[in-house]
Amino acid sequence: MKKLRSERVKGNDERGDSFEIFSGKAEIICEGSPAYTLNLLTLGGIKVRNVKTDNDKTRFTLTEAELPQAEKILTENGREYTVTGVRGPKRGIREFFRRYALIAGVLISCALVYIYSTLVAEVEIRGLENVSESTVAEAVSEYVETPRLFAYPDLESIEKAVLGCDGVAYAKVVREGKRIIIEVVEELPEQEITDTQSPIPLLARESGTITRVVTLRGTAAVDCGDEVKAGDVLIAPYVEAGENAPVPVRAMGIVEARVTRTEQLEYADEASFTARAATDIEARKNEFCASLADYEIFAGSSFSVKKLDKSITISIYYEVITRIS
Amino acid sequence: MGFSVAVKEIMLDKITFSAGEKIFIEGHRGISSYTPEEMVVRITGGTVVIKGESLEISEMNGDELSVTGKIRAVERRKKGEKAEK
Repeated sequence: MKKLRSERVKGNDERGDSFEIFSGKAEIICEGSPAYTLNLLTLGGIKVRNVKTDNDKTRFTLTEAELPQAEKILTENGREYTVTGVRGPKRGIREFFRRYALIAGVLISCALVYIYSTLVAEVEIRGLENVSESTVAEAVSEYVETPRLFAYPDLESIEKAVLGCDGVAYAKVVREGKRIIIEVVEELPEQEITDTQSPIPLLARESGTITRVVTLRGTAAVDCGDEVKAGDVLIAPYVEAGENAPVPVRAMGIVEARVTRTEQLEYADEASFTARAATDIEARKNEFCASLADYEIFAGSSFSVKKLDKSITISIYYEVITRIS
Repeated sequence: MGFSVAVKEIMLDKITFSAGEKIFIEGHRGISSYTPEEMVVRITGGTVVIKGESLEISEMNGDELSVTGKIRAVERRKKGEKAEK
């Protein structure tokens, strides 16, 4: 058997399993019965093309990928053949696509992933209820802009900026992918805790003579005309329940009394006292009346003069009916 | 012929003869003989003899066969049947 391989382009496809899309065409001339040759190849899974026969020589083409298999079949069956040419993309191009394109693709992918990782597309603020989102966003905008590539915002500065907003008690800033996430915990609103259940008596705020008692809850401990001092119990924190033990309650009611408020004027010498005392007393009285609350009633005034070694003092007494509960 | 039109079919769509210059055989069993003037193709239950000039196999694999050239006659022979004289 004479095997002609002189025109075989060695190294073109040593593996024989190259990608079809890069496969070239191989042309073979085979001697012997064309029918036998073609049957051998087609039964071996080879697809032959452009078959021509002339004087016991059969010329045909097949893909370069099928060439090793075809050669194997022809060799095993003792056929003489010649590979007259292999046409297709240059080896360098195929090598590039096989290897360098793969490496380039990996590098480009890595670069894209890196660039993507530097992207800050949005800032998400979580946990806001009472604080305005625009307030927080404005505070943050100084440190981060969106969308932006190659952004490396200082998360600590953002956190401080958010904490500087009114009503923010706690802030945590994290970067997740292309988002900056700001988690905010707001300050709790101040709540006045009022206990209306505990049995507490109603006490006098000022000393005076009781003029009116209105008991809403509890038991009155004073009557009209009684003299009370600041801190005395006006309404006791219980309610009589017949034969049963008194029921403790939170005392509540309105107690009015005539109270006396004093004011002193001091003069350095008798001359100034004589000149200004009458005017000053009248002015102070008017001023006092103007300062009274709606529920307070001015009931009269009096004054006394006391002469000391180095000064003269006037004490003004204002009588006012007011609430002392 | 600038176009290809199926004009005759033999053996239940297995063989398509197009415009006198192309024949397509599906489900062949191999080639018995092949010259530029005559080709004998084995099929189930017999053979197909293609006669003409410059006969070429444009494509062939284990199942399909496409022949081009100046085709003058296509003859089907059943198994055991001899050629007509």
